[in-house]
Amino acid sequence: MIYRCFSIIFILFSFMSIGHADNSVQGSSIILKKFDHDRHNLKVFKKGTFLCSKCHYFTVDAKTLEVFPEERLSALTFKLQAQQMCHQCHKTESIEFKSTPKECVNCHDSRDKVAIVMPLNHKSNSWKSSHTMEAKIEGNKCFNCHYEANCVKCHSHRNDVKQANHPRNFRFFHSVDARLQPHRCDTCHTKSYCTQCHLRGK
Amino acid sequence: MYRKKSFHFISKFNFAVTLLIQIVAWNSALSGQVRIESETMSSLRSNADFQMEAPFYEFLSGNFQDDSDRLNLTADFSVFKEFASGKDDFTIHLLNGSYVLVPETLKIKVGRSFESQNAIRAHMMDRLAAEIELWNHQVELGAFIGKEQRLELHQAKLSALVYGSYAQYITLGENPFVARAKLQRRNYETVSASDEVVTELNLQKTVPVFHSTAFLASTELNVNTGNLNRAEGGADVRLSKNKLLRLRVGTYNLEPQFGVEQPIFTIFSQGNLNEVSGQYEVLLGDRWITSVLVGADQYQVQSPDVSLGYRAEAELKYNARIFSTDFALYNLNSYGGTVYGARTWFNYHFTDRAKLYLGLDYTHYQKVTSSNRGAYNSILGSGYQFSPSLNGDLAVELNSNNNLVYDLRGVFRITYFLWTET
Repeated sequence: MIYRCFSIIFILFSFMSIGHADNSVQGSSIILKKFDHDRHNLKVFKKGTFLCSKCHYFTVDAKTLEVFPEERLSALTFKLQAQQMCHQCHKTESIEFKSTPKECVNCHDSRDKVAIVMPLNHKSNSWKSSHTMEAKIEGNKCFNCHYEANCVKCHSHRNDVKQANHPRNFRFFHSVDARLQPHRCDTCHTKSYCTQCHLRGK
Repeated sequence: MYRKKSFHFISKFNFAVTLLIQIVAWNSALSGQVRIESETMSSLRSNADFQMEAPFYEFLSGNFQDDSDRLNLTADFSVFKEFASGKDDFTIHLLNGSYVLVPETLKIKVGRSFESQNAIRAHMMDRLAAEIELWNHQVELGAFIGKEQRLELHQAKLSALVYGSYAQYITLGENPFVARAKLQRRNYETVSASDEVVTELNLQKTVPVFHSTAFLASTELNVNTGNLNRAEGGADVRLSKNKLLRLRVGTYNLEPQFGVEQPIFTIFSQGNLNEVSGQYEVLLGDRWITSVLVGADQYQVQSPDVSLGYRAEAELKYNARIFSTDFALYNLNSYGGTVYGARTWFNYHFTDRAKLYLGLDYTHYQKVTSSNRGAYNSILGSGYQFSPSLNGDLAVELNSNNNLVYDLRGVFRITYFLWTET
């Protein structure tokens, strides 16, 4: 028991002492603040294949690589909207950008920001039941925004305070639903889960 | 409520790994993104024997991803304590890490994982896995070996040694084709249970029909017995950006296996269960979603009796910044009886930080046992955002059902979310 207590205390303390739980940063940061131009210079732009003109109003001489600003640069910093600029490399199936990090949370680094880019199918009324096949087929894509604990939250956590998977009244009509779709119960339960109540005369 | 487990060894192991995570997290040489979620909840209520209960739950999870996208650590724990009876429990749901040994090619994974995308019928597993990606990330091959854990209320711990491999092929472009195959073997510790070799094949193809259409298929086959455990197919037809038609058809036949935990399916069905369902959903502007779902299930109960049941649900949701509501009607029918119900939910932010919510759910059921009753559930609560990361909820539940005519409960909940960078 003492190890459990220490473990929980250490986990809580280690995570909460990490970095900057600065709510003002989370609340006010904009996506472009995530962009590290120096890092991109080092990893991408330096190779000479990714020119300034891809994002900015510059013209680049193909032979001399000399850069000439265009007239529109006086009015607009970027050629594209921020989303298009980032997604042309970070959200593409093109072979040219196969090495580019694709996880959404790299830039959409708060729950509020990730919620904004939620796929349309997540807003479906039946997403909770219909995500099963999607998760079996291409479950890796889920980890662009989620991490493994999000699966465990519904599939493994057990509590009877929050009505996470079954409504409160389910206990009283589950016999009807179990006879309708017995295969659905097996997602989380097995036969012995039934016997704990039904063999005790409850 | 939870059975006590002896976790002496695991507690020590966990303690050691926790220290490791702590060291890694504090090391300024490692920069990355940290996500922490904590959910604390408790309830004060009376049980069916009119005894007071005060269960307490804490769910804590964390994830660390370094900036180079090579190291990833995940942990998830739950703590339970029932103050009236003194029962307690501690469960490690996840504790694993992965490291990319060869960039864009080889990844090693170790620890306790849920393995939902790589295992067949995912469960918690203490495993070692390796993955390689080839051919411009279009091909993924992986393998794992582990000890499966199934932790459930009052269930004898069942564990099996599991070996598995998986492969995925995906085409590029706006309408990709995805194929994912898995092969898995379970060696049960129970001598009387036979080993189980299962294979699963999943396919998905998107086509530019209407706004977009995705065809999906998934099958699971028991290689030892040749039994088709499951075959499902479907189509998600996005008729326009705002209209979705979702169709599903499937057949299921889970076999009982002597000496192993039996699926609930085998209690009721003596053969294949065939299912068909369809859902039509419409987004009305940015705030309204309405949908209708109907489904039917048919299987053999006992020869020659065949069960034919159906379900129907209609739902309407409104979601705006200050106010949101949800209203649903549902109907189930099987040889076990008939259920009609209506539920609604209101959520109102009367300030930027404070909200009120109200939930009502009434269910009327008539069972084959001649039980003809209603069950009522209501919750009235308030929530407050102490900071963007910290939220608290206090609510009162009033229920009325076959167990308790007046079931009054107090509920409190605190959630903490931290997404930050080291």
